[in-house]
Formats: sequence, structure tokens, C-alpha cells
Amino acid sequence: MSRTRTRPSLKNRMRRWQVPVLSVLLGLVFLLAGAARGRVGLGLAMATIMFGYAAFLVAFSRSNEAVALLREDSADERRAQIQLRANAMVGNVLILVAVGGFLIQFLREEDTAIWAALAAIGGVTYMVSALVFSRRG
Amino acid sequence: MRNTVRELRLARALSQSELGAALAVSRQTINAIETGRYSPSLPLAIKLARYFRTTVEEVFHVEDED
Repeated sequence: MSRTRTRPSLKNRMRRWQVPVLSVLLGLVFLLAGAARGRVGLGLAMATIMFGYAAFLVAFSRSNEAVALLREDSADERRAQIQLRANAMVGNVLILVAVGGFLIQFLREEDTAIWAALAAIGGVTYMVSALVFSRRG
Repeated sequence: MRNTVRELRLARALSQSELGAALAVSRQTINAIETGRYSPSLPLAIKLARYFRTTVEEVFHVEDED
């Protein structure tokens, strides 16, 4: 037995900063896009939200596991499993919304193309993923 | 699945954070394993057993089904 602390690998240390850095970059993109369209106030507001989100992740990811998950803070296998479940839940909700939107539009006798396309993309993605992952074992 | 991780850890006066750091998992994951809320993967179970210089069978016990 050893009580030596395992230092996180460079890959893991870099991963900790991926989401905060991406959030800041997105904030800058929003700011530039707002400025380009002459809506500096809106761009600034969106950038502030993204910068605030990045700061929130950095400040609280050590003390709160849910925030650490949002930051993708570790290579921990249990957290990876939670991420997979959360991603699956997002997929289920989006498919439900797409199918629901399709049905509502269909019943209203309005254009269903966008909802049908979204549901089709979801369905095809699921089938292709199932095929690929079943082959990978 | 029951396990003796908490007993083994306390016998060595380790905190959950220290054990987590040694195994490259979070404190919360050690807690989830100890309380039976999470069953670790085979590699992590082996890592745990090796850390405590014992076997997986000594650490993890599958409860008999009725």
C-alpha cells in the first residue's frame, strides 16, 4: 500500500480547462458576432453570460460534483458513466420534442418537414451508433 | 454488492480523498462504492484490491439471490 498522491496526467489537467476555455471562446464569438451586426449590447450580454459560466465552473468544480461534471473535471469512471446517462437523457428528451413537434404540426395540418428531419436525424444516428458500438464490443 | 472498502480504508487511517487520489478517482466515487451505490468496473476493483494487497473476492461480495 502506498499513500503517494497520484498526480493527474497532462491530458487530464488539460481536459479540466477544455470547457471553461471553450466557454470563454464562445463568449468572444458572441461578442464579435453582436458587434458585427451592430448589436454590441446583446453581444456583450451573451459574452458576460459565457464568461460567468466559465468562472462558475472554475470556482465551484472542486466543491460540487455536479459542477465538476459540467466541467468534465476528471477521468473518473463513475463520472464518465454519469455523463453517458446525462447525454442519453438529452437525446431522449430531444427525440421526444421532435416527435411531439411533428405530431402537433401534423394535427394542425401545418408544415412538418423540420420536425420530421430532426426526428429522422435522431433515429438514424441512434441506429448507426448502435451498429458501430455493437461491433466495437 | 457489498464490499469491505470502508473497513480496509479506515484500518489504514486513510480519508476517502486520499484513497481516491491514490486510485485516480474522486472522493465521491469512493463514497459511492463504500455505500454500495456504485459498483466499480473490473479494472478499478482490481486496482482497489491491489492497493490493499488483497484479492477482489476479499473486497467485493456478491449477495446471494433468493
